[in-house]
Amino acid sequence: MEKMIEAVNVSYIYQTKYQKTKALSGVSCSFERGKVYAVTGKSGSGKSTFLSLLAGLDVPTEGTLNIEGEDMRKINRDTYRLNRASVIYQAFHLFPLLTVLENVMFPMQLQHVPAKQAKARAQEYLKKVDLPESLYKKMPGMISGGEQQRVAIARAIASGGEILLADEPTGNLDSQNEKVIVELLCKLAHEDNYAVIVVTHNEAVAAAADVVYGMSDGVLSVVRE
Amino acid sequence: MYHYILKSIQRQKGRSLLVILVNCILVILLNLYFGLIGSYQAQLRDLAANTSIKCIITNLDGSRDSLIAISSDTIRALQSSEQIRGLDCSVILEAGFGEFKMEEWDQHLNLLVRAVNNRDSAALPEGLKVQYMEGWDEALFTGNQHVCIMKESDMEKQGFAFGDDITLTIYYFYYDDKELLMDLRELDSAKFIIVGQIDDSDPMASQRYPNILLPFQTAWDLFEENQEDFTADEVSFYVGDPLALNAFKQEMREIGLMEIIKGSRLSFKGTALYVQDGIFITMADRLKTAIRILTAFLLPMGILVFIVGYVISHLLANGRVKEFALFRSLGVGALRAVRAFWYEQLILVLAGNVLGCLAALLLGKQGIQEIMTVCGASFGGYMLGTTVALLWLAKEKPLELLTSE
Repeated sequence: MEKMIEAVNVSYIYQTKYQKTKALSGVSCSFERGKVYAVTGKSGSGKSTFLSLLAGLDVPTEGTLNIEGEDMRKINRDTYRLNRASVIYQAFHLFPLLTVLENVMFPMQLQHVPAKQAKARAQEYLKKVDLPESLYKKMPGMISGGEQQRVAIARAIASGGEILLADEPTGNLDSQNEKVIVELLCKLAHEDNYAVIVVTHNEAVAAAADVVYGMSDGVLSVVRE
Repeated sequence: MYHYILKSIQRQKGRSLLVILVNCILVILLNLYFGLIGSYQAQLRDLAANTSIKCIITNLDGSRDSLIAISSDTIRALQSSEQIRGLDCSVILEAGFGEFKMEEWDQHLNLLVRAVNNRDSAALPEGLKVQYMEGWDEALFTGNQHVCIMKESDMEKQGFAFGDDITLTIYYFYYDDKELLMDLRELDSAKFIIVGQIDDSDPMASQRYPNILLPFQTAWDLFEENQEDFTADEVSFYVGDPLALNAFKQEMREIGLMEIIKGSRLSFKGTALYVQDGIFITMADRLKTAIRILTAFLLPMGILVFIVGYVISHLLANGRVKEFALFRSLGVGALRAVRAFWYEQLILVLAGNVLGCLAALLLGKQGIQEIMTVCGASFGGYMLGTTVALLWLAKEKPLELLTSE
């Protein structure tokens, strides 16, 4: 299967005025469409740094990160996040000033999709994540954590990209909601052909993944393939 | 993004109102500040326009301002000066009707004559009726024709009428400055046409003014024709531009008019100038000091507006760092995200400025142009502060703010 993302000997060094910290060291791996990948590891192991590189929020200090064969350094990373990769966070990070529906419409508005079309598509995505219609006009603060995360997933798929990056997506959820979100991510990968990369230290999430990588002190290893 | 900006303004009412209110108050305060400067400047202009600083030529010790000898050179210099206005000159003469010999002066020399360059110099009482012959008016005093105005009672006594030619033998006062003596000397006999009469029906008032008024220049010409040194014995005028008092005083010194020196030797020479500028200087100094102090705060005021804009925008931006990071995470470029916040502030600041302008208009202290200028200054200063504060946001790394690690 075609490699969606390929990391070749990727290293990343955090550099402050006084010290340098190697967060990633010689990471090589690849990610394909239609699979769920889990990157596990302790806090501070470099998981989120790796995620930020995959999201194009930063570039590797050494090595290359290819997106469908293109070097991440050479592409417009804002456009990449706008159209191809979306990030889901542990704390949901919905816009508190926008309603559920407006939150999902937001990425499409950035892509200049006409309002009517954006609204229809947003409703479609919210249905896909099984969010009741009665919640569409509610503000994010008025719905539960599980519901908020489903809205965040709907917003992520609304951009139309095929890469879903999730940072501890179940970290703030109870076991019932955790199960729903994991199933949803698996469904998006297996049925809708998304490449889903989940950074987690939750074993249940890792167990549901097709491929599991372990991260320890910035070094990536294959746990299960 | 514009959709989001409008929603943000609409749904964060407290924050939006705060920015609007702060800007409204800034515009009002700045208008009051500039209004105060403008008001002081207007008061200074009005003071200069409405306050007349009178100047009187005196002798050096300031004890005499009439019946002194003011040289023709001084008068000529004053006539051509652009620093003065309202020059009043006069000279007192004695005269008798007809021609007579010097020895007969005590029988004939019974007329007080005053040569003046305008009606005000004649010191005639307000409202006194002066009747002119047809074709003549008080402009005659500015000329040099051999015409005169006479007291009505004298005309009746002598049986004169308008248009009559009369002969006057004129005597003048000679001032001996060395001996400090005043002497009466014969000048000339000359013919004059009567072109006006003074109503002297009130005998008390009539004592205060002369029997005959002549044009000042006519008298001066008579002196020159007889090769006598002409001197005026009363000269006063007003400072042309009270705001240019120093330049005026400099020119007066160049003309030869000194400051009064109390205790100097008594003299008949009109060589000093008494300037009635005390009140004007005190008031103008107070206003100028107030303007200077207020104007000195101009730069600090600008900096203050900048700081207010910076601090408020910085505090508001601090509370929106995650929002900014989320924008970035969703693919909005750093500058585009900053621009969105900047536009939001722009809308609120403009709204505050419009309200501030309306309030300033209602206060009615300033004109629209001044208000708009002040508003522009406030807007510029505040938005500069906002820009600096928001650019700081662009340095933020989004994932550090949003991820679990």
